[in-house]
Amino acid sequence: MTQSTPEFEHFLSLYNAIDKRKIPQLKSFMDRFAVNFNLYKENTFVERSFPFDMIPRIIPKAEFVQLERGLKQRVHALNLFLNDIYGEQKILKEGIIPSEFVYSSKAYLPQFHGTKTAKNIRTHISGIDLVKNSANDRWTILEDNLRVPSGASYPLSIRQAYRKIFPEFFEEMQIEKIRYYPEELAKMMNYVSTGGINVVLTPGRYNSAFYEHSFLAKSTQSVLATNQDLVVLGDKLYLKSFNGEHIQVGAMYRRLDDEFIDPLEFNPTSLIGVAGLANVYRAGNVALINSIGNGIADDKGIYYFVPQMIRYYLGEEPLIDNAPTYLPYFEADRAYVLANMEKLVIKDVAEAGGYGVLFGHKMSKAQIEELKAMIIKEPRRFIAQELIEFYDIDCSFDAATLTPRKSDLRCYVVHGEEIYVWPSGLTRYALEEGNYLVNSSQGGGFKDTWIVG
Amino acid sequence: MKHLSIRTADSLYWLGRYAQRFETVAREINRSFDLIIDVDNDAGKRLFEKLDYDVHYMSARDFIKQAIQEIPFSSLAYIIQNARENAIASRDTISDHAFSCINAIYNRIVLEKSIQTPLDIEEMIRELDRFWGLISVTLNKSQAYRLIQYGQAIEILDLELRLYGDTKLVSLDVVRLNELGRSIDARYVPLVLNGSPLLEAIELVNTKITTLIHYEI
Repeated sequence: MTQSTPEFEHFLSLYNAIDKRKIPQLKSFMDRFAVNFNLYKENTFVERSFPFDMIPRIIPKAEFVQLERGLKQRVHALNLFLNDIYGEQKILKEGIIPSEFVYSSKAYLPQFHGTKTAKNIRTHISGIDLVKNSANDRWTILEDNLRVPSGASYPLSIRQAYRKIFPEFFEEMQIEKIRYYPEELAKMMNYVSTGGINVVLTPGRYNSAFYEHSFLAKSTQSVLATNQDLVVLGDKLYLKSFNGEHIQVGAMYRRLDDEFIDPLEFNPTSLIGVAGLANVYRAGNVALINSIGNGIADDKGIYYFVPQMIRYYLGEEPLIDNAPTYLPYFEADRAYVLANMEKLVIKDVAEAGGYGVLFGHKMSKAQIEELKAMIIKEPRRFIAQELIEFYDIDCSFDAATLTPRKSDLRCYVVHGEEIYVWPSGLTRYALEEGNYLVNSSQGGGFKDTWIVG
Repeated sequence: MKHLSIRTADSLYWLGRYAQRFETVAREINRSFDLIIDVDNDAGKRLFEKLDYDVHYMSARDFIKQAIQEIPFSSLAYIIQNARENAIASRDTISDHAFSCINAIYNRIVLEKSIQTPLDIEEMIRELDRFWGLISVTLNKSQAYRLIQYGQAIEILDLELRLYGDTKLVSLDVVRLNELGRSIDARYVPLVLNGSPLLEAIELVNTKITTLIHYEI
């Protein structure tokens, strides 16, 4: 089921009048400028432009204002939670969240307990995934991404082309401008910098999102660096300049996970990390964006407790709903989950990118029995959620008809001196009918997101 | 001023080299094609001998097909692929439009395989002209631009030495190269080829960048 609004009807009236022969120019732009989200298929690197659909997701401004408030509230609470968990741990001591729930998570890094971050900010860039529930017409948060959320560069890139090819939409509709995102990122990096230049750390050219890494480095005036461009001397981080100088780095937007960021601290086989970086971070001599150890806050199990966090730290009721979630870790929830597997979505908390997500209604009896046994054996490893029937979104796979597809929305929140919610987002859609998985790494496409007021 | 890492500086240098190599080889392929038709059937053989490859062809069309797609290490497809790799590695530094010129040539030659005739090649040379113009405008006077120019100048020297085999013919190009080197780093030690044997001169040219980019620090 799709949702119609006066704003979308306005778009359609304009869409019906445009010269459809110009639509392929959008794809030409993607190809010419190599706006790529690459994939690995059977261990082979495949370059491909990110599939794009020109029908935008349109959110009325009044509705987005509500979302904005809820997202600011959520990110604020998550940041306080991280500072607490790596500090006094009051929320555990007061029993709001069971301690063992945190301590048993691989994403909790006790070796960083007591490490302070610049300006007490840890959730510098958050990507919050939402869907709009068609049962109650409310936005629902599916997950928080507080480690390395990607994707903002794609709507930024396509918007430039869209405006040139079809200016009539932007003349006729009051669409929020989105070009300020890099500026907000740069402002945040400068705010938390410990002194020195800003860099974007990329695993390299064969990473799926390398396009985004170079885009963000360029648009924030940062240096794009791989681990080979950087060196730790003493307890400081430096860029190795081509002319032999060492330039101190004050803020680093790292685009690789904790596990790979420093082979001396984490995975010793990492070939893409910077040896000694964790100690520079501990010494307070570089701001890492996002901070090390954030994974504990976007652990799928901890997600369950975010509403409690909001109440605990802010004394407020959550403004955006969580999806109804059950933790098999709790006995009552486990009993419910085991009795209702067919109607639930079961998620492995250790997985990401759409992997480890199992839909009960699509599983055979044998698969369900096998999963039940795993849940009983390792209850902390799984969460279960009610299957939310969220609105489909119209796609124009051909110029003549609109076809509905499942989609979600990733909103980007930048936490610098203030908390900024980007008035856009990455709308991802499933390429196949009936598929609920929209992740880019699962082959989904993207749309621009227009806030219209 | 944005700082340049060793990796980016190296990519800019090689981008300049491969882009210039593409232009020179593309023009030479078209010149040879014209000669093979009805003037000198061996013109294509001699061109690629100088680039260390023994090519065999049945006709001008056969020659151009091989020259565009097949000749190891010297086909236009190989050269543009390398230019593009370096453009990707430095795309945070060069302009989007400059990058798109290199990528568009790559798309036509490597992905679409739609470049088949001398006229198609001329079209690609015009695309490359746009690239040179765009980097000149967008990177003007920056270290990044000078590194691309330095790579371009090295490539011109290298190809002139290989194609024409005379160190005296390149003296003006050496002067220009050294001016560029000094503009990048005041400590630059000038290249001197004075009467060096050809192979030694080629080696001197090709290793000169190691005195400008501090690969090991």
